[in-house]
Amino acid sequence: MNAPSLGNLEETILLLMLTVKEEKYGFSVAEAYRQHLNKSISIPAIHTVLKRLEKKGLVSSKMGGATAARGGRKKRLYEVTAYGKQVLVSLRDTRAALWKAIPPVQL
Amino acid sequence: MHPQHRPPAWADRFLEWFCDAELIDEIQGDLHEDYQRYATEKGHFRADVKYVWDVLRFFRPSSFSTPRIYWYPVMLKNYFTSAMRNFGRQKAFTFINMLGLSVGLACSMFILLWVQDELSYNAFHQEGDQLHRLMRHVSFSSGETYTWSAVPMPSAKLMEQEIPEILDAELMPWDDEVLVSKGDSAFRENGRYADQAFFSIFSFPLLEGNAEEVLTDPSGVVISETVAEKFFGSGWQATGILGQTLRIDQNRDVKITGVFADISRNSSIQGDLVFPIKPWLDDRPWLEHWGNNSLEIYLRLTPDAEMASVNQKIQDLMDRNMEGNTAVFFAQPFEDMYLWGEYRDGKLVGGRIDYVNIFGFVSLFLILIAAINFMNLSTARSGLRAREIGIRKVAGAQKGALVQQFLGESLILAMLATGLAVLMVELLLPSFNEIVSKEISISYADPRYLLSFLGLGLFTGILSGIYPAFVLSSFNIVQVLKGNFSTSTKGGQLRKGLVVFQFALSILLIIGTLTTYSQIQYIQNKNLGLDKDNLVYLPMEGAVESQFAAFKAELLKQEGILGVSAASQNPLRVGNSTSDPTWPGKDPEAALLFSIINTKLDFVETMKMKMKEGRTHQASFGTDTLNYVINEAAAKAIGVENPIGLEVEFWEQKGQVIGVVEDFHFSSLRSKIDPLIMRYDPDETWLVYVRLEGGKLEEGLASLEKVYNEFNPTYPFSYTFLDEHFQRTYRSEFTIGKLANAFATIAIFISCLGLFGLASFTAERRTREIGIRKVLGASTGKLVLLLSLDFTKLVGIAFLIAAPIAYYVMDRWLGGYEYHVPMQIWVFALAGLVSLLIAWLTIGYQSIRTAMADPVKSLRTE
Repeated sequence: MNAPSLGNLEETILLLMLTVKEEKYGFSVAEAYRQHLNKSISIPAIHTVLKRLEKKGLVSSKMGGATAARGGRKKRLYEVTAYGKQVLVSLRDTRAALWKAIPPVQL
Repeated sequence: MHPQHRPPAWADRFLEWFCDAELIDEIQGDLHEDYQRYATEKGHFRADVKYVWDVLRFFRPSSFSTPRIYWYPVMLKNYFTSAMRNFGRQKAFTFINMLGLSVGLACSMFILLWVQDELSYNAFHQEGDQLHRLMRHVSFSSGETYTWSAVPMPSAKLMEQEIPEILDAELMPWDDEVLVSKGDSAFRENGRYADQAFFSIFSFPLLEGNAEEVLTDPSGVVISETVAEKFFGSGWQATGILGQTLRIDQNRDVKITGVFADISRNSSIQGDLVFPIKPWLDDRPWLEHWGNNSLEIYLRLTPDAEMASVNQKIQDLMDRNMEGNTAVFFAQPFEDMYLWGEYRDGKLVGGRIDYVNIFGFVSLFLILIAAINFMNLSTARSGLRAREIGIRKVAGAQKGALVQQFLGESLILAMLATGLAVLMVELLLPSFNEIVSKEISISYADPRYLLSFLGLGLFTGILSGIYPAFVLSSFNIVQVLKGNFSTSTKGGQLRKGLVVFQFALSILLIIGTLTTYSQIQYIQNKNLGLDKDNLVYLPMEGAVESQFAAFKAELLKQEGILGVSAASQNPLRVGNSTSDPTWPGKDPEAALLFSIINTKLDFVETMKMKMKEGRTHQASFGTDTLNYVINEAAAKAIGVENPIGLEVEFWEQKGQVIGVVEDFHFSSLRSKIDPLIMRYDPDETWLVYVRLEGGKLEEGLASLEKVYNEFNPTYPFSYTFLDEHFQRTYRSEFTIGKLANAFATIAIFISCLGLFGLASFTAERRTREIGIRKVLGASTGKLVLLLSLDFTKLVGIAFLIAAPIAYYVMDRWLGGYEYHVPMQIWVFALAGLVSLLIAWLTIGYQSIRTAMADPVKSLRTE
């Protein structure tokens, strides 16, 4: 399949979204990023990545509920699409094939 | 979790301001959650900083709100219908809006036409951007620097030869009136002498003849279409006009070598006949001297010429050829010379471009005043449409769609007003042309006119509609539909501010008008030092010139003629000057400029000038041709205690000062009176001056004509009144005065329309209040006062704002005149009073009607 060109951060975030069980939106994804990768990411940066993923069709979104902590603002909830999952699987397979192709002496 | 701290409110407001409504939820929500987390970890201060930083990072195009076009063709018809219904329901207000807008638009169109006409001057030459006029700055010991276009003739040839950037240097003497005759018909026409290249450098199209050859024959002449028609009839083209002869000044014959299309009014170079320059130069050998400056030189440069380097080369050339040259030469772009013609102290200070700018502003003001009416009336009456807006919103109309609807309404109104304005312009154009002495016409075939009018209407529609559109569309649905919506306070301050602004502009224009008028009055009544009334002048030619003494003697015998003399120049406009005069004890370094006028006998007496000391030129003193009468300014400049008898030498003649004449204004009142020397030189006078008797003008003119025709039977008799000439000199002042007057009237008219609308609205709104007051015992007079007081205050504030600005502007304008009226308090007082009175008259009717209304009627409806 023709995999869309996917940046490193985009791939990480896409993968990360599959690990989040609760609602997936800007803040919660940033939280997950902090936990799993041990470094912080800003909300503007996360928003940019999410918009890009959505444009490429890898995630979809809809408006969700509001909470007090958000100042009464609604969340935009994201979900990884089937296509997104396919892309991730094919990326993993490509890498795995590459790993297998490495002769043992190289490591 | 309940947040105890909130991010900085201003950062939130900023975010809400720039962020698109569809994105604000996710962005602000995520940012707030992140803020709470960060604040618990790192403290509020660092969280605040981070929050602001993140908001700034969101300040990027992807988050900006984009104006959306709501395009629902189904709704268009509905919008149009409701617009028309509204116009119909509020007839008076629609009428006021329309009238204000169309009057404002019509004025702006007039100004636009005028500005366009001014800008089109000299713009029609194909190589216009390569053409320049040679100019020079000359400084004098008095500290003044004059800028002149008269330059030495021999420089032309050298510039052409030595400066590679100069392709042509065209000699151009000033145009001159000539008498043209053929057979029995004779006309005075405007003639000029020109180099061979004239018709190739300037784009004056030739109807007959070849541009390169028409001026080669020294005895040839190129005539304009009009002149050709005058002498050969409208069918001249069929008659084979080339080679025909015309008689010039009754003393030489010339052969027609070409015919050019009439020169457009918008050209600084004018002329009905163009003669080859060679014979003219041959008659004037003195022009070969570098010290003589009596003609202009026009330059055609290469397209890529570097102006600074060309100017430097010209200056070097002049310095090389003129020993001790102090004049600074430069090339003035030809296309600028009409609008940018005023130099002061060697610097370009503007010229007619100032008027272009002033009127440009005025037209903007007028549009603004009319637009403000629209804004005020629409927002004031917005309550009437509140329900419609509410229902539309409930039915799903978005804010943007409503904005479009209301903007559309104002555009419809503005377009209707534009149509009306074009009609007004069309009807009033002849009168306008008369005021500004132009021949502006609108050619509807040229799309630029209609497009710019349309653009003006569009601009006005958007300008006046945008604010009401946003106000109307942002009404809160719930409040509006509950019916407790009040428009009384909403935007009240702003409306008042707009009224103040309108009146300030009107007062500014009134003060401008009054000041211009008092300056014009001052010019009219100024004692010029000579009596300009009942004085005519005519050209000195034919037997009048050769037998002047007999002519004069015969005239003086006639009824109604008091005095006859002659001079080289018009005493109100002496153009000749020299720095040649020297006298014993003169500082050899000092350069003083003296204006020179040559006269015949009895000049001072005929002009009714007054002598301060000494005597005038007399025939009984045989050597008076060497003696001089000077003016007071010259006596002061010379600086000798008793100048009578002082030996003055100039133009290689030595003579004595025999009298001092009181200063008279021999140039515009814009400049001060300079030193002047009057010579008695009977051979160098070109204009005959005749003083007529006050009450017997007709008799005087009849006898003048009779005597003239006896002496000069073949010349057409024509004369000019000196005061007419004087009026022409100040024509631009009179024009400006009339225009300022018209615009001020219109500005106050439009402002009053708005005030009237607003006042009737307020009165309507306060009907109940007035009813209650009346029931409680308020008198009608008190109520009228109460209703008028609000607006009186506004006019007062407007006056306080306008007065200092007007003072500053008019003070600068008057500063352009060496002789002017002072800024007068009565002008300001009158302007304030007039605007107050007009405002009272406007609102008075409404106030009285409301105050007199029967309270039973107004209260029963409750």
